[in-house]
Amino acid sequence: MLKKFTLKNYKNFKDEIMIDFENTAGYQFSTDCIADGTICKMLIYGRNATGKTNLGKALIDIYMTMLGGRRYIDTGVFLNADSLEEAAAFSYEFGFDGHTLIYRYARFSNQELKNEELIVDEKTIFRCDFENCIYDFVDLEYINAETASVDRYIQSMDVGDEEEIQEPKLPFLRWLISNVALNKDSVLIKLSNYARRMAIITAGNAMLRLPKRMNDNFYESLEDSARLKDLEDFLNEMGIECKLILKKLPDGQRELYFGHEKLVPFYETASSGTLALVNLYRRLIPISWEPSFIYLDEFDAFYHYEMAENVINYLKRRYPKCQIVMTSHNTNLMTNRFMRPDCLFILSRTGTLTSLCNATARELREGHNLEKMYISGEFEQYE
Amino acid sequence: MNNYQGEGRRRSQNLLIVEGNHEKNKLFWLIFKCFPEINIDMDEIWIYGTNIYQLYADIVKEYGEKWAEENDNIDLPFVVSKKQCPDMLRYKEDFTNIILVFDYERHDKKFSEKKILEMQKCFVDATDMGKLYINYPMIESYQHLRQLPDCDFAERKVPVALQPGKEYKSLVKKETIFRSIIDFPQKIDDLPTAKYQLADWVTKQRYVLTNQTYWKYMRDVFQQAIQHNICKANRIQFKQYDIPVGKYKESFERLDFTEILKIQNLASKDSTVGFIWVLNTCIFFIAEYNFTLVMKQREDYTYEAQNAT
Repeated sequence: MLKKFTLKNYKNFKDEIMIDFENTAGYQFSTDCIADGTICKMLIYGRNATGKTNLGKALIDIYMTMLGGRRYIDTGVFLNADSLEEAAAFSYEFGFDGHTLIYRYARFSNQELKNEELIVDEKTIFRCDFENCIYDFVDLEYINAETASVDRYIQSMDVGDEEEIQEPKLPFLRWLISNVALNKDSVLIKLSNYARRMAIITAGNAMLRLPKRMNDNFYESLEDSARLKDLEDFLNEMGIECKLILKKLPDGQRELYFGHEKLVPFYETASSGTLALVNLYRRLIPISWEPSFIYLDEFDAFYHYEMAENVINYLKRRYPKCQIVMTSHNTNLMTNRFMRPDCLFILSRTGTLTSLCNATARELREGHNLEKMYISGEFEQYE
Repeated sequence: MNNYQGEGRRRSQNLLIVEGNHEKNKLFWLIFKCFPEINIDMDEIWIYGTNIYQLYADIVKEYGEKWAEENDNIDLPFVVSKKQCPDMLRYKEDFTNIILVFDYERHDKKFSEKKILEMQKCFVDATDMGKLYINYPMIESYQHLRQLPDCDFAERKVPVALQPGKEYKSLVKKETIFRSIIDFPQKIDDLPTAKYQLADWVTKQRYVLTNQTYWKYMRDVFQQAIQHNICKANRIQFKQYDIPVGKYKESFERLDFTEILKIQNLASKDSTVGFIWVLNTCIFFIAEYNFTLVMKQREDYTYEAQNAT
């Protein structure tokens, strides 16, 4: 589980911002928002342009750092534009079966690492300073990785400038995981498994109407009538009553329709809410792996309030252990009926993230109307 | 200059609905001074003086006779502002605290068990629709302690026959240990011109520290008064005055103002032999805000206060 995340000098976060998933307040209600003493369902509010999406991108950064692959196309400015510091700092603290693992690194840009460091159970395992080419493999033995031929890694670092490679500084952690035979109980394997199963899903923007080819795989999976029925059931349960039909066209393409007296093409006619919901389904439900962490950005931007509730409750039932961080502007969800004051957060204009129970001296109780309190300014100092 | 900005919204306001008695404003003034954690600026408080039955009538006017039965979502800032300043309507969405403080006033000609019960049932949350605190028999009951601790407080009651309110006030004045300690800041406040001179003198004499101790001392007094009243409410509702150390919060959370009101109504029905349990609920606002304010660091304050005097 991810226990803490700290970020600095990234996009709009000039100063350090921290999410402490272990900072819970012992409420006896909505206990399904907590798993193993860690917040597993978090809902973040904040005024427009406070950085809710950026925070999600930052949280998921470890995925790309550890697993490589094409970093998502992000043309925006990487470093904070008001800071003179040259790198953005990321720090992740995990807990795996009683072991604490801290992986922190700094980046000059989306492509280039400045340094990285791994600490397990308060022991520094390695430190790499790519800027000054100083590599310190302090205690690889502690994680049973002493067999790693670090010379070859250093060699690979020493490439000429003329060679064009995608990522000039290959993170040592990534190299280590793929080049050393680690025990399956190893914390590194656990870390890698966690990172591999992280996802960010953005619902509230133009991504909704995807180019047709991106839907091909999805449509193909729907040829299985049970799958199609499952999607239909999902839509119905969440609040969209419809009947779906998949047809194979003469040219081999597949097309999804709403079943009426006449067939109505799905993607051309579906409402924004329906498309957003299908997008969520497509990204989450048919996948074969169990997600460890999901950042659902503006997940309910197009949803009726009841559908937003249905989706949250569904996610809680379906992914009880998965750490799901959601952002929303829908204050109707700011309620103790299915959330709790230590899992509801406000991201402020100054880049601080505060849970509701820490945003007032008042003792928050189950009976409190959190939405009304938020609107009337109870947490004003932290907005 | 642009003209994008419309009329700004003022949030984080506080509404205190009282009977217009100056004492009450002073009580809350003192509470907010002693408990700065509550973070309410006295200037931010909007005080509306009215009688509980007048307020009831105003609610009926806006929401109809059946407002209580129909569980209407009553917007008191709206009701009050519509009457007081119809050009500048206010809504509860802008208020973080709505507090109603009324005397039980059994002897009031307009007294109605039904109405007061409806009000008590409806107004239960200061952060939402508002919270009604009824003081038995009157606001002065918070001072009705003869010593600290005062074990006799458990059975302290006043006969219904003791009316009008003046009688009770003078009784409290006679019996209370509060008078001497509470006078100090009130005097400063009562002398607006001398206030600044005095403050200046206090600063020069480096008496600021003593002054600070005064608030801490009063905080301790309030904490004790609240604890006494929690015990008393427990006595009324559950017939058990003493609460074991460490169980105060639990006991406090079990209290039900509506049940207490029903018991008081029953006890005071008879105008000759009836009685009213002495109980002040409005100081429970502090306990409700954050219970740690009631129990925390008592010893320190007492110690400091004793040293200062």
